[in-house]
Amino acid sequence: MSATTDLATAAVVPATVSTDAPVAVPGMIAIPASRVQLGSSEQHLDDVGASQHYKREWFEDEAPQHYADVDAFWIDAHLVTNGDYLRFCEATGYRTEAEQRGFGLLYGSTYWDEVDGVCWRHPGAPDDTIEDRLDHPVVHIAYGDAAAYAAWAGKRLPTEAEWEYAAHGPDWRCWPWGNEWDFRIVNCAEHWYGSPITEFKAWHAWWGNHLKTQGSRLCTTPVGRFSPASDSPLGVADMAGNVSEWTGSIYELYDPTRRYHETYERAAGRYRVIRGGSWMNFKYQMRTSERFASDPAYSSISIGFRCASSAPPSG
Amino acid sequence: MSAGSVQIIVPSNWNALVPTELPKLECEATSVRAALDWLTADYPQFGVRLFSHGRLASWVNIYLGEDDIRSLGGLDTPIESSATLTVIQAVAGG
Repeated sequence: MSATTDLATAAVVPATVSTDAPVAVPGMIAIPASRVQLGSSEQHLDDVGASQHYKREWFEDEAPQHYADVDAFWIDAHLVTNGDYLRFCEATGYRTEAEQRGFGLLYGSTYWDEVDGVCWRHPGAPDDTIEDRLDHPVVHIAYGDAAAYAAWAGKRLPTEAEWEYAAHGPDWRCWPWGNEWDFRIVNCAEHWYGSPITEFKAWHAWWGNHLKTQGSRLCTTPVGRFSPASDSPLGVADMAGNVSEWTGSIYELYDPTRRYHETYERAAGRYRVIRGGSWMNFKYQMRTSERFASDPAYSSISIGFRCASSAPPSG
Repeated sequence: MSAGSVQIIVPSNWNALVPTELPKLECEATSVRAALDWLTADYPQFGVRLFSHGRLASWVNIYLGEDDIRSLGGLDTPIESSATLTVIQAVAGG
């Protein structure tokens, strides 16, 4: 493992990676089979709990750190874009869950708002448009919306283990590019704020200024905008920042015998896993082992997805 | 209808919204709505995390025991004996 920081204390264990040559697929990264380190170490969670405004128990579901065997797979180098999703909807007539229910979620001055007419086609306001942002990641996507696109594309969503492997390689590292935090190379709240954020007060200062100067316009960026500086060691872009990503995995606790907060126990088996922080998040949500448990029907301005495949997709 | 004893469990990150550690949240209530009214009377800052346009917000789920209250009677679901209400945000963790 490379140089460590106070947040990078996972044990060093040599990984076993297959040397079989994978088939090249345009737009996708071939990931070899490997034994992969997943989750966060106890020391890392202690450090995170002591470094910001949420207690360690909020992050406890990242423990225990463990190993899993992951088969070879392919993963999209980039997030699915507005342009990609537009082609899917034009070809199939598909309407997302937000379009069907009639409202989407925007973040207001204090908390979320349900705003009529907001959806992936109108991400920042009912009169917003994606026309000048076709290369940005699609948002306002529920789990079913992501899975429907993936099936149409002849792919699937990555599992949670595949996602984390693609984000940090066989061995744990805190962020895709390494263990030194650098908000200049990732689309996150601190990038736009221009300073570190470790508490609500600073986040609200940034958000309040954003609303004042840009309204509800999203801060997504063209996919791969921060490549190669923030790419994962396997060459995958935007695994931290821009938008959070649906995985295909049902949310489960890593160790059913361990004590987690009751809300995580209730979410287990019901929610799906989202990984990777978004343009609205800061340092701690950008970590490769950070877990979000999400209601499959949920969608917002900060959640998108990418696809994966167990075999080289045809066409 | 007689009131039931209700324990309310909220997400651990809601502790960051109050000046001191949240105590055990327990009340007597005849319905889910009454229990949440009790909660938001003591902690009004939780209100925007629970309600939108006068109804349960889409970004939160509430379980009465093992059951999602939306599959029961929603906020009007009666509570007739001791029960646990678990509040889970639609995105937990992170």
